[in-house]
Amino acid sequence: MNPQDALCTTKLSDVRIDHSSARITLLGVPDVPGVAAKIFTALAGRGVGVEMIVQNNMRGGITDVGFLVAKECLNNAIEACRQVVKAIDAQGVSFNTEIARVSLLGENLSRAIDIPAKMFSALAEAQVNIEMIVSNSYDITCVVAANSAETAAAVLREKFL
Amino acid sequence: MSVARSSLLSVRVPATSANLGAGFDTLGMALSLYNVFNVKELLPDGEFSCDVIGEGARVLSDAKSNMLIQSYLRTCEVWDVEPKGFVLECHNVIPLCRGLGSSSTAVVAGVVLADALTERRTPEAELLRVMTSIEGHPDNVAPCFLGGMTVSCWDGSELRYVKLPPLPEDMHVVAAVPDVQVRTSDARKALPKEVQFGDAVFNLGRAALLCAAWATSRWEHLAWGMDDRIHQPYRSRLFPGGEVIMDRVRNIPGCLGVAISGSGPTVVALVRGGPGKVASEMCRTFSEYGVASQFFVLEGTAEGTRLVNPKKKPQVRRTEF
Repeated sequence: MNPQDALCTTKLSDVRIDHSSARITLLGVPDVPGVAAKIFTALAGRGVGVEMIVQNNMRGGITDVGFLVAKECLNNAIEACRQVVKAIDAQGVSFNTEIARVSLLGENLSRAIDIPAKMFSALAEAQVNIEMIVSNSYDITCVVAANSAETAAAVLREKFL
Repeated sequence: MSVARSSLLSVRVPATSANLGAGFDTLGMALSLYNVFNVKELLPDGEFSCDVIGEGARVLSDAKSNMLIQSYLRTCEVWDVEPKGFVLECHNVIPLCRGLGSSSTAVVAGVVLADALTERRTPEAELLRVMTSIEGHPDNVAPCFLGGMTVSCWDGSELRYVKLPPLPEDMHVVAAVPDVQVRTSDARKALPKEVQFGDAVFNLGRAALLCAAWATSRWEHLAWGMDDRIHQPYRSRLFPGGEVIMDRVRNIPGCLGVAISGSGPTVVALVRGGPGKVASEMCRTFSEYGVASQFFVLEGTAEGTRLVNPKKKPQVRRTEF
């Protein structure tokens, strides 16, 4: 499909802010098979669901693994992560509750080649730092500092809606 | 420690929280957050290269100024041995200039590597004496090297130290780390040149109470023991939210005591039970004052420095308290 045709079929419908998540990063995780299974089995065992899993590509045989959990599960997530960090001999785990998810919602977003560029440029112009990104056909979501969320949503509404 | 497999030697060194409450320059505890330093290969005497991954990657990769290599060279000089050169790989996760003893990990690792590479098998007390002489004060390097909570005193040449019993398993250390740096030198300048007699008496009582409470598991006394009048009131002004954060969290159920970690800006709270509420309130306070932050939930009596030589069993300091 011609990119211009794809743009024509894309519909942007809303911008939403969600303050219900906390970000967790396991630091210095050994980059060997089975480690991700141990991490997420430990979380599942305490009833903690996760979203936006990101594994950084780092050097020297170790990596960082980041993801989001619901704030209401924070104490269970903390306990699971502390135990798994010890079990896999990772270097540590950090937590951040002062984040928000800002999402641009629509249809056929994965076909619209210029929307991510425009979205991230608008956020950059507003001095909003993006900590994590995830996208699919229905939304592009950025994790930002909680106190930047309103600014981020305002610039996206002005740019796209 | 998987990163050690492709290394000649690997040293895992914990973060520390020093100046704990009234224990200025004397009380410190090891925290379960670790920098890892790998010696990848040997180079001719006096030649070094350095690769830093993670915290400080942009500013610490110059081998000439790298603090671990400086500590290693100083130790070799003290022991009058030729310094073997090496390729160093640093995996840093302890935030820099935040009061969590990041620089102490480099000092301790440098001395430990000097001992290992020269195969001296130096006694623990002598290693600690060298570490303290390089650092200038013992309250970070002692727990960093030995693990756990330590009481240490330094007269400029000799060192005395005692390791206290471990914390119970359900007690956590919440460390809230704002995204601002406080240099130790600036934090020292913020202190008064003279201390009022009443404040000195206040601190003597609190420091003694903290040690006694820790030694006898009388945790209900931690809040008083972590109070202070000679450094925290001055250093809390050096970072946004510092003057209110401790008051906000000390009365949250489960919070047993709160203090500035090291010379700040990290704030640590000892928490029994679920740590989420205390941690969230600390980070919310930093947010309110316009500063991003993260938090760690750590063991307050973590193991000390671990040396791994792939050809031998790992060596961890297991000093009895």
